[in-house]
Amino acid sequence: MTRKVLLIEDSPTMAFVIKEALVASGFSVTVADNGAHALMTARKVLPNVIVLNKMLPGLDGYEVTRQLREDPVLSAVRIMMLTESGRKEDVVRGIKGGADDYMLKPFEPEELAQRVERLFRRISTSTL
Amino acid sequence: MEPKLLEIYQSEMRMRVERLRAALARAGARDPKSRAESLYDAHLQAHTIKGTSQQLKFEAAAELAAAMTDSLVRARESGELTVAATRPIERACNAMLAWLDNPMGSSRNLTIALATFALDQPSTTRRPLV
Repeated sequence: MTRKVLLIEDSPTMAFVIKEALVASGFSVTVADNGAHALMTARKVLPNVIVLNKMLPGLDGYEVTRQLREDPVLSAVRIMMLTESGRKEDVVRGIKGGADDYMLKPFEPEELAQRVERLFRRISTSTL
Repeated sequence: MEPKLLEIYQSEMRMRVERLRAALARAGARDPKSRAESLYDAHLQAHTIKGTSQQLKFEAAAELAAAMTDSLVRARESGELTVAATRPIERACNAMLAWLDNPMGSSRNLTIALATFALDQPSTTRRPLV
C-alpha cells in the first residue's frame, strides 16, 4: 500500500529538507505551497497524513486544518502541524483545531519521519 | 551541506529579503488596511528567514532575522512602522544579501549587523544582546 503524505509548506528550503527525510523513510510525498492549493491537492491525492506549516501565506495552518476537518472525504486524515513557536497557546490552538500532533522548528528530519510513521501506525490501529 | 540544498536556501532567502524590502517600502501607506497587509507580509518574510536559517543551523542569520521579526511584531502591534525602526531593518537586509553570496563563509558581518541593529532600536524597546 502506498503511504501518502501531503506536505503543505511555502518555504522551498524546508520543503526540500522534509520531503527528503520522508521519501527516505518510504513515504510518497506531494508538496503544496499554500493553503488554498493544498486543499485542492488533498481532495485529488487523498493523503493518509498531512504535514503542514502553521504560518502560510493566505490561509494559515489553523484554517486549513479547520477546513480539512469539515470536509467529509478528508476529515479522518492525520494532521501534524509544524510551528516555530513553543508557546503553549499556539500548540493548544493547533490541537484543539484538529491537529493530531505538532512539532517545533527547528527539528531533526529523522525525528519528523518517525513521528509521521507513528501517525501511520495510529491509522492502522484505528482501522483494525 | 548538500550543494542543491544550499542553492535552494540562497535563492529563497534572497527572494524573501527582497520581498521584505518591498513590503517595508509599502508599510508607510496612508490606508491602514494596506499598511497592515504590508506589515504582515514583512513579518511573514522575516519570520520564515528566521525559521529556515535555524533549521539549517545558520545561527547568525537566524538571530538577525529574529531581531527583525521582533521589531516587525512591535510595528504590527502599534499599527505603524516608524522611520527609526525601518532603517535598521533595511541595513540588516543589506547585510543579509551580502552574506548570502557565500553563506558557508564568515558570518562576522551578520554579527556586526545584529549588534548595530540592537543599538539602533529606540531606547524604550532596546533589549540586551544575549
